[in-house]
Amino acid sequence: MKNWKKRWEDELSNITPTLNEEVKNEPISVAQEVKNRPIVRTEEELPWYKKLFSTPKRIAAFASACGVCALTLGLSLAFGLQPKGGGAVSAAGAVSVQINPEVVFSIDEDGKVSAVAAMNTDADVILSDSARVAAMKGKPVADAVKTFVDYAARLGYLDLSTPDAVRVTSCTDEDTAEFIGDCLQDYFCEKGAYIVVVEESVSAAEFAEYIGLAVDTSIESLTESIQSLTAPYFTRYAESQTDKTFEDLYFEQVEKAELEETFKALLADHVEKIRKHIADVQAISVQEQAIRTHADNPMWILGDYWTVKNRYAAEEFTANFASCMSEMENLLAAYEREYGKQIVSALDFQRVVDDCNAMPLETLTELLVNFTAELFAGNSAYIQQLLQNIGVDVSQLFRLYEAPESAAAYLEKMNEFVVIRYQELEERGKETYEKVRTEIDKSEYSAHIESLIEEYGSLQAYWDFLQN
Amino acid sequence: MSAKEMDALLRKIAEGDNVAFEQLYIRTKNGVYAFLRSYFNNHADTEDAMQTVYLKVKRGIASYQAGTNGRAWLLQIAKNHALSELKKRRDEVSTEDVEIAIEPAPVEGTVTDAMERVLSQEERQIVTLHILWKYKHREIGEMLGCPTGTVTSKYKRAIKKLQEYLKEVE
Repeated sequence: MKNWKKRWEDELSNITPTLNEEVKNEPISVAQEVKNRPIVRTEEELPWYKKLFSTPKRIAAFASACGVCALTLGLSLAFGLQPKGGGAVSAAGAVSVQINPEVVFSIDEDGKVSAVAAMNTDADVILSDSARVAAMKGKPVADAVKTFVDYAARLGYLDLSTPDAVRVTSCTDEDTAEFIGDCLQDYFCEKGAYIVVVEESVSAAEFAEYIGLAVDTSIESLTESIQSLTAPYFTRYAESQTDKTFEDLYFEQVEKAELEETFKALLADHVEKIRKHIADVQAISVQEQAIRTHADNPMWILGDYWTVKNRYAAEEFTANFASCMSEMENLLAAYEREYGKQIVSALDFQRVVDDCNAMPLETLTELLVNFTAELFAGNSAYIQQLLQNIGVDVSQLFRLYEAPESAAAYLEKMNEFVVIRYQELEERGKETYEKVRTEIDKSEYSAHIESLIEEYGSLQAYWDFLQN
Repeated sequence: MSAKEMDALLRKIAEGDNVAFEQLYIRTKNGVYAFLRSYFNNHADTEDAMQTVYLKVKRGIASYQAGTNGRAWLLQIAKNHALSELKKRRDEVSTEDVEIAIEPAPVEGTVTDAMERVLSQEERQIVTLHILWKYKHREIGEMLGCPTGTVTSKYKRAIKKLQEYLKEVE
């Protein structure tokens, strides 16, 4: 089942016909002149230095180049030379980085980032804080790309523990494109991550088409257009989808199902604590009943623990009743320690009991076993209450679950969503990101690339495989 | 096949390179077949159409502009041929009785069979364009004239139906 795509391709390979003689023998109607300068140069047309470093050769040459680099670096340092931050990049242009967050950088003539634009909601999440944008804007493009990739890794969009790929599409000079690739490779080696960089260089027109901008073929026009993409992606997207309701637009970005999964995970994580909370409240309730009905209770009516405690001194109790009161005091202190909430009166306690009864334990168990969107929607207020009972505040998440009804509400909720999402992903991805991994040797990294090319035919094919 | 590779092959064909043409056929035949089959729904007509499409590639390669979208150029030839062929048949049906050809049904349990049983023509095209031609949902949306979100949801629904059906028959 899993390989139905592969099965389909195999089936197609078996049923597609071979070309008949008529087609085979048909002469090709040759063009008088091949129009336009091709964007991609064939192997024969590559300059001598590129031929030397065409993909398979580049890999083979990589290890020895590393040796030369190490020697050069050693000599540079010996002569007091320091590598310049960001490297020698200079050409204006644009670079796109796809992980799942997708972002586009506009580069000025000094090779620095003049604008950064999100191309999907995941990228909006990363760019939701101006400090993070500032960490990339004005920086050499290779540094900015590396910073962006690092943010994506922090949030778990890129799992540094799993082999994966990032795609970098450049519309700039070859040196800059290669330098970006090299910087990212260094980053992944340093992080001990078997993540490869799939690089492609395209023309300004292709780049513009790719990001859906109508520009002429000049670099200036392209960079200006990227600079004009100042609004977050979710705003631009909404502007382009005028036929949709705000609710549809919102849940397309926020993904209702994912929110429900978040709640489910929260419930599953906290179900034991919810059960314990209910048991603890029951224990207090039993003790409270014991005090009310105790033969030595000095009050005839309203003889609940809190009233008795306020009106009488401990010395006035019999030993047995005092022990009952003391046990209750311990239960309440333990409750406060565990749930951060002080119960100060009988009324207060009644509220806690009511909150506990918000949803029968059986319904909660059923929800965890057969979680459906309908069941969740029908009980969402109770779920919120149960989680709040144990000190887990999910009010923000629940607010996100409510559909916006106007453009202003859509933008407000989306702005809130990207901020919350960032915090949530950062928290969730922390452990994986901070996990200590052994740095990968350059030759080992090259061998990984080589094995991928052998298995998939090219890094592009590997990328395509990962996307499906 | 990437846009780059496609463009490089088409450029070579435009220079008269028959080896490049054979390469193009090998690399694109699955995608073209699946795309054409979404129109014809049977093997025999799709097989015939394949020959014509690649014949048209040889004859019309001069119209290809190097550096543009090679995938779209090839698929446009396939689409134009399929639509004109189907129109021709409709015209024929309206003027004369046409003998109905008995086409062996695809083998049950195959993905091709499953697609024809559970997916609409549009869903088959979306799945074909995304999986075999590597088009993004946004690009498919532009081709089919519908929003990206619609393509994404249709694609997801199609894949789900397909997987459920394949699971059933297995």
